[in-house]
Amino acid sequence: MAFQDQVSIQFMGKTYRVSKDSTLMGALLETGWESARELGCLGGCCGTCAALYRLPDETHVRTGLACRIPVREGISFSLVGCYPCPEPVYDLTTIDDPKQALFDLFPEITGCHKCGLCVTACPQDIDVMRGMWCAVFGDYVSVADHFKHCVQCGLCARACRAGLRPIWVAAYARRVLERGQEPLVGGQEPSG
Amino acid sequence: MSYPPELKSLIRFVEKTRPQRVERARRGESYPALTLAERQDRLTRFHPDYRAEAKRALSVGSNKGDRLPIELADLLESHSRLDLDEVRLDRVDVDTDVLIIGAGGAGTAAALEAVQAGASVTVATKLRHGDANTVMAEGGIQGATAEADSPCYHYIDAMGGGHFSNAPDLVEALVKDAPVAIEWLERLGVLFDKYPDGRMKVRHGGGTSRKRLHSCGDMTGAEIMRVLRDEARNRPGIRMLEFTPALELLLDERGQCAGAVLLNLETRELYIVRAKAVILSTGGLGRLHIQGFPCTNHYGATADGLVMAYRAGIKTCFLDSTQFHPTGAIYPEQNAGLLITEKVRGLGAHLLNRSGEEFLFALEPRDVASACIIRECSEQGLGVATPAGRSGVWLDSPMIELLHGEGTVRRELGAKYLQFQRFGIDISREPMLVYPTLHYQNGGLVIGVNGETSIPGLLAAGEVSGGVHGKNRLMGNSLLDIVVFGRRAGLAAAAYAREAGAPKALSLDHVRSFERELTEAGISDGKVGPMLLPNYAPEHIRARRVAMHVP
Repeated sequence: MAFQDQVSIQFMGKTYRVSKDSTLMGALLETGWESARELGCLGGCCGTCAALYRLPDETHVRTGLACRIPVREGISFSLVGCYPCPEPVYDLTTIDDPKQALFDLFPEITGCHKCGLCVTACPQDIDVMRGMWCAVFGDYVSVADHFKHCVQCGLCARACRAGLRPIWVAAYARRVLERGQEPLVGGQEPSG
Repeated sequence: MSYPPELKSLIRFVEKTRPQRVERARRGESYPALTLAERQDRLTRFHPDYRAEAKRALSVGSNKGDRLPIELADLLESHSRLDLDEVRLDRVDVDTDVLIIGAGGAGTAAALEAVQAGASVTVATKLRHGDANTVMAEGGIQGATAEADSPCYHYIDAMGGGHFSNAPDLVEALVKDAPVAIEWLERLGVLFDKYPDGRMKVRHGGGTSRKRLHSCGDMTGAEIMRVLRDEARNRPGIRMLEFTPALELLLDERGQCAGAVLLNLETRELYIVRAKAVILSTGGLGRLHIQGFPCTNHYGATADGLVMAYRAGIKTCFLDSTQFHPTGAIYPEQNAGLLITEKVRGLGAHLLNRSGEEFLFALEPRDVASACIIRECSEQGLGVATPAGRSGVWLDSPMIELLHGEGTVRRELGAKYLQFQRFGIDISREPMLVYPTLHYQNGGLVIGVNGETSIPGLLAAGEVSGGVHGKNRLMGNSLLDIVVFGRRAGLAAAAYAREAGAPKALSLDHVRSFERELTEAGISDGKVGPMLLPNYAPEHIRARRVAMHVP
């Protein structure tokens, strides 16, 4: 490939030259890098390839999905991998008071300082902070709406100084919400 | 990185014809659909499946003589990754009732049903739990739940879409279970799009005679996977082994399926799993890049299950037919191959050539639509060229705003909107450039209505299996397929495990005899399978690679 069709990128401190029309993940594959982790749908749907990156003309670190961020000259990045954000275990069928259960399952949720770092961290443009406060106040309809496009990458949890786990709060709120509604048809086993 | 000036000037042609096209659409008029003879003509001359030189006959196995895509045939005739004389099968690491290989939608649905039925369940998956094509399915899931619909219409549509080649009993199971499957998902917490009164919003997909497509925005599969995964994580009876793909199936002294050899990708240890029943739910073959097409598939879609099952003697069907999704993105280059859901056309967007003119009925079945787009870009010479040298046609998403009101694109196609907005393209104002992209494995392992195969104790569900979609799948029937047949296989496997005694001697003799067949056929190119991870390293890197570890 011609030199002018390439850019220099820095991955985990090492410099590579890659084609200029690539994404961070595409560029990594092009270098011969291999992994079974940090690599998923390659289409921005699965949240596996959460990345931290810094542009040459900026002084702050941005967050995003490596499969969706275009490379550019001088970009520096690393992959986050799976951020420590354990999921609580619950049985939806035995939860009588979903609002109380939220605080039992996620006791840290009241610790939000409203710093807003989670909002800037989200690659899906979700207002994570507002979503968390909607959950605190039991407005699960709004939580569900806010987190419709959540890919559960965990970048919000990484940004949170109070240790909130927004991706699992959202998953819980969405599921509890649907359970609260009457089913449209009667329950049956599969036919045949 | 928005459209360069040369493409912007071509967009003017689209904008010029848009008012009249919207007017016609409002009157309910559409571009005439092709007749059956015309469809056949377009398919034969332009569909990639019909290119004879892209296929070759299999020389070994239960489908010997069948002509399959070369990339797949090579893999089906690959050698085992195991040193068969070295593997110790007497040291069993995991004993379980049901082993499920592959943890996408089908595998997870199977796990939930099997554990519910009282079985102990072990799930082995190559990547993370839920990293599968399921999360990438955008448009929706079919199911005859609406007032004017019935499983009968759904049946006829699915058969018609598959050119009446589908296995009738499988289609019957699919359409009859569909409403129940959707209710099951809803109860687990999947938030489908609904009207304020609680009725489901349903839409048309290509080849449907009734509105039957249930969606969750344009992230239907992701929503289903999020919920199934969450539920599986909350069931203590399900043991999940991530980053641990299977290398071979194991049979027992009775010739029944009795487990698998797994590989821990992180430590490179082999695990021997003994199971009373095994479900293969490893998904499809997109990452084989048939005929060099870009694909919409997940990184792990490398046909592993087909390879293992073929060695065990399971017959496959319809693997000569690959689904090319008519609308894969081709611009910007970073989005190439990215799926543009059929829902865009379901919402009324037209496909247009370089002159901004329609050239097909937008909701033709997928194979026909793909063939028409390829024709427009080749024979007709009316494709739009991108700076990177790709050719495609316009998908006029802005007309959705005119038809359904301002903000519809953002609301209904939010994920897609974001993916283009990142590159400075507002798809509610500007059209997208698309070309067919490799999307789905129509065929697969031959199964019965409960996922059973010709080997007792071995079941298959989801994209790895074949027959239900025949030669061509309709939109929204694969999400349905994984839920319906995943659940059925889970229940059947649990029932089988209750009845079947525990296997005694584990054996890899089927792999030995397959290797003998390969030798007799003179195949000794050293190619090994399953592929596990696609190799995207450029040729000059591959050529210099050495193995640094003992395999």
